[in-house]
Amino acid sequence: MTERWERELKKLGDVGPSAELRSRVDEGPHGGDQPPTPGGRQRVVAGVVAFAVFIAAGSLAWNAFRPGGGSPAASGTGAPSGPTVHLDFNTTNGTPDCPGSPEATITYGDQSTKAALTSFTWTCPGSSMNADTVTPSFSDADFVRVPAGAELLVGGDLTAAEGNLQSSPGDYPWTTLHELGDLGGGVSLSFDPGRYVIEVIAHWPNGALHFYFPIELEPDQPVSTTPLPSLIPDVLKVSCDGGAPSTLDPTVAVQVDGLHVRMVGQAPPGEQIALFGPNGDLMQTAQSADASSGQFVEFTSSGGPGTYFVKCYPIGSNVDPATINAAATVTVVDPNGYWVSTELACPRSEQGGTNFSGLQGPTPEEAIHSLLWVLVSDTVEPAGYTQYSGDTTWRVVRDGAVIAWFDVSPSQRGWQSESVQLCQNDLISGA
Amino acid sequence: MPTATMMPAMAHPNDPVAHGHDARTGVDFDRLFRDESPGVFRTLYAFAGGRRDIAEEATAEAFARAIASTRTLREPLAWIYRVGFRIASVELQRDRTRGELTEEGAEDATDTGELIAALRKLSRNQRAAIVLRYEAGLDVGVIAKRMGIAAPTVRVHIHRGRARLRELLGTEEMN
Repeated sequence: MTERWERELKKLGDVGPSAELRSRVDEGPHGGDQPPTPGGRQRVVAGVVAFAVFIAAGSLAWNAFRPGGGSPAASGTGAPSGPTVHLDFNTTNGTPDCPGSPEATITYGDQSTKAALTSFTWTCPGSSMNADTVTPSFSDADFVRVPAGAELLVGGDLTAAEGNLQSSPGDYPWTTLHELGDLGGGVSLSFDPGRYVIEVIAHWPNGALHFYFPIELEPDQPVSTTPLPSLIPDVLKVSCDGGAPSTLDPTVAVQVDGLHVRMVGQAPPGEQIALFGPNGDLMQTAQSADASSGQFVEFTSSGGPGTYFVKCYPIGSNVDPATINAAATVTVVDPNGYWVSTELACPRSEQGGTNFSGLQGPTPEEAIHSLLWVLVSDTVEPAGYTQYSGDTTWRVVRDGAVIAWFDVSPSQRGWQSESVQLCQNDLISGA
Repeated sequence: MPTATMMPAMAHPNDPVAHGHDARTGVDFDRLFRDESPGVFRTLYAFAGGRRDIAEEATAEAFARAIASTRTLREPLAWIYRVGFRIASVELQRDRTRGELTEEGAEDATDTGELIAALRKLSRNQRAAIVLRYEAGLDVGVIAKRMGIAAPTVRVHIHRGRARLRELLGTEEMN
């Protein structure tokens, strides 16, 4: 059986590009932010010039970054007096002409984590190596905990580095929240507490590599000043006065059925709220009632604890996640333990998505248990917010580790789940 | 028993790896263009609310930039989709700023007129997520990579977009 809207969608299959598309591609990029493709001769000349400049720049910058040389902070702003986080970049064994590709580490006190790295090209005289990597991802244990406001210093045998602060958790690619710029002089990590990923583009004469460091900024205050759980408000109140978003409380607790969000104040009629989750992605939007009539919009989100962003915008305009820098920020906590985590125990590279359209059983639990790959010994239990009003979420726990979760809703034949994530290595073949 | 089709999150069959090897990027762009450009165009066509001109330019520009890229593109098709969405967004915004034709006012000459009219009542991300899910048949993880957003966000877009399309186009069923 096919619903009408599905049949209509299939008509899109008859729509195609014009015959001129290929010739347009062959013309090369027209975009203003990217230069046209150079011709072969131009490319060779540009490459030679670039290599020469790179070597010269490398020689000049070497002293600034080499171990034992003038450290970025010492040469620029003086030795920092507060806590310092070190990012160390060093090439591995190789020859003087061709050092091995580099590795990087973030260190704070006795904590240390190796950086993730995306694919790169490493060029040496007479040779070039393309290295492919897995998608960067981090576990909870990888995040180095650092007081907010700590100084970030870069060292090693690189020639230059620039960076930015990206949102976390979530999947790569993360969203850039703040440009850190040139890291040569050290930068202060004066940002809101929470988890982040620092992206650093590190340069060597042999290539520029993108490294990712997991970091958790902690409040730079005594723990005793943290409000008691009972004093933390449990509704996220958002004001859209004048179109500019603001949150009335810096920290908000979730309720048993999720994160409650309410628009307050004299918002323009028809204003909308957009809620961005801890990874910077759009979680939910809600159109307000006419706030001047006293009918405030309120909705509940199924997102877990973390740092959230709120934005106000008029109906009819698009919500662009790239503009969340202009949003208000709030830390969402779960002091009462209402949130049941759906984070899978396996690395992201081993996770997969699927859907099940015909789960059979009197309850979602029994329906999920009827799947071949779910063992009798597995625990199937509610997850997320167990009293959330939307689709219910269930997770499968094997030997104490979460190996799958399902968003389950009723269907004509029992149950269906259009959103499933699972650890493929834990599955019985043929699932 | 229920049936399911496994879609590995990291290597979807519709996300082609290199079929041949370009010396710089390791990608056979000829084949990628031949196999995938119609799908990219269709998605951007829906994303742009039936603006064929913008969909075609965004498709062409995204492929052109991929071919011109000196970086190694680990997942070239997902990269092309994300660049295409960004270009189309910029073009639509530019038209809106200039007061020119936007997707709301675009005319469509195909028999998809009713569908396009309904899609225009969805957000752009909802349109893209719906088309990738129900026209292209991709799973949420692959859609998330192509749209450059998280899987839970894709689910929200699909859920809301589907509900809205049901409202707009009806739920009449047929065999």
